[in-house]
Amino acid sequence: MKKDFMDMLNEPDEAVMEELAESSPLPDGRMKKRIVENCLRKTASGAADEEDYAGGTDVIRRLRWTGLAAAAAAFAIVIAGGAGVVMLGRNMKNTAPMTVESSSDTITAPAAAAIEEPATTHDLKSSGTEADTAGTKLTVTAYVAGANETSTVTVKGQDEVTGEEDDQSGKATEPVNSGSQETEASTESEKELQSSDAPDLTEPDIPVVTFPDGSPQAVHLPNYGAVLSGNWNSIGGHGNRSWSFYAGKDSINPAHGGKGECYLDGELYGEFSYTIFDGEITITWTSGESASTEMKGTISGMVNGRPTDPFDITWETGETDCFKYDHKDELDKKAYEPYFVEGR
Amino acid sequence: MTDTEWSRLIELSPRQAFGQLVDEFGGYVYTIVVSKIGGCAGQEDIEDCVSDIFVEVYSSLGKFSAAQGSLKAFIGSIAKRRSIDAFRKLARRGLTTVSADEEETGLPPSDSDTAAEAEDAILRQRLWDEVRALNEPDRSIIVYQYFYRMECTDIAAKLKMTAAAVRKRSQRARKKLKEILRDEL
Repeated sequence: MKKDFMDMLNEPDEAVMEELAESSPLPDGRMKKRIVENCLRKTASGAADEEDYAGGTDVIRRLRWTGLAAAAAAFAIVIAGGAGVVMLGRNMKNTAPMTVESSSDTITAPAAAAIEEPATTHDLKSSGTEADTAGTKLTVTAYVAGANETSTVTVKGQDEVTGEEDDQSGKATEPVNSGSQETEASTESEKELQSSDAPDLTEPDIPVVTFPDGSPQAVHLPNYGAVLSGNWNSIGGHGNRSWSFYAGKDSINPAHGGKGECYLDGELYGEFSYTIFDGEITITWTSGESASTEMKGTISGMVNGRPTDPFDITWETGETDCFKYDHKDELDKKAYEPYFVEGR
Repeated sequence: MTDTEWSRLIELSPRQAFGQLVDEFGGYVYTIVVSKIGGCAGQEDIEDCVSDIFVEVYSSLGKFSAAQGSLKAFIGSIAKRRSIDAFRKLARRGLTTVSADEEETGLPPSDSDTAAEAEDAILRQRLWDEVRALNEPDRSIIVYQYFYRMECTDIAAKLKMTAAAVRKRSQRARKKLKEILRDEL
């Protein structure tokens, strides 16, 4: 309980206030006179006693260091912002041209390098025209764009080496870069380059690779731009026939073989893909043909500008035919088996 | 007197103007001042605050426009603000203690404070309702004695009664109020 609950008789609401005002003790004569006199005195002395006036706002002294700290923080923010803008501007300035240059590099730089390198490093000799040589180089360029630096090695048929000048125009109808998937991986400009300047390997004057010291300087497995070709005679069901083939690299996985075409008496017999592994060249017909009956013969190639020793092959029947040659134990870098030059 | 007529007060002499203002709004202003500072201020402080209010009203008459509302409301707003200023001034002098609840600290009140204030407000309103329900002259005696804080002799003079009768009636009225509000006190 309150000490005196009547002390709560204050702060009436507006309605009570109005009611109380009517019975207010003011004005009675003396109080009214005092108040009026007081008002006149205050008015004469300048408003309502400004000296004693108490406003509704208290003045709070703010510490000086807070202002200094705020100013320093604001200054630091401005400096940091300015520095950030400058750094951003520099970065933007540096990165924008780089993008343009990198894109141009992708198109032009490798091509230029590839054009020059094969000619200088491996001393490719071209027996053809200047235009043909240039075409060969441009073909190489398309592969360089996606892989190691390479050079072009072209192996011609035995007839050419032996002076019979067997024109393989009918055989080598597929260019070195016949792999379609690699071409897809190239840029659009490279595709245009290949299509317009692709070498015509059917021409007899494919560059012949020679090495100054006479060593093969080769690695075993095929490399970019390498071409293997050969011919043989069969004594199987087809009788004594003259066969020849042309094999280009596998654009997907050149180390494992490639694609080729087989010719029978100069006429296209069928397309195939081939792999070289452990002394065997295994071909898979892609055009439905089959070598059919027990064909046997010899195959020799032109690798590194030199004719390989003829080696016997056994052409087994089936969808997957297989050349088996007898130089399995000599499958090293010294053997005259289809080596492919690694470009440097 | 209309608001337009009050606007002519400024053309009168100060004495006449103050006289008319006090006659018309003296009770209203005095009640407001007492309600704000009556519990902590003496009679002289109350009259001084009322004077300040009328001085400000007189000096603000030129700014008053009937479009802003009635003159009574205008004076009422000045009176309340001035009364609060007077309360602070008295608190600064040390004549009264200003609690954290009474002074605006800018901080939100705690839950317990808010609940207590709400209970007090309800009880205060109930008390005022019961006081207003008292018969005369008991009602006036209670208001003069506990709201306006007048002496019994002054109340007796105003009501044309003896001081003893005022004290007796006040005692009975308080007892009656206490019984009515017994459950809430």
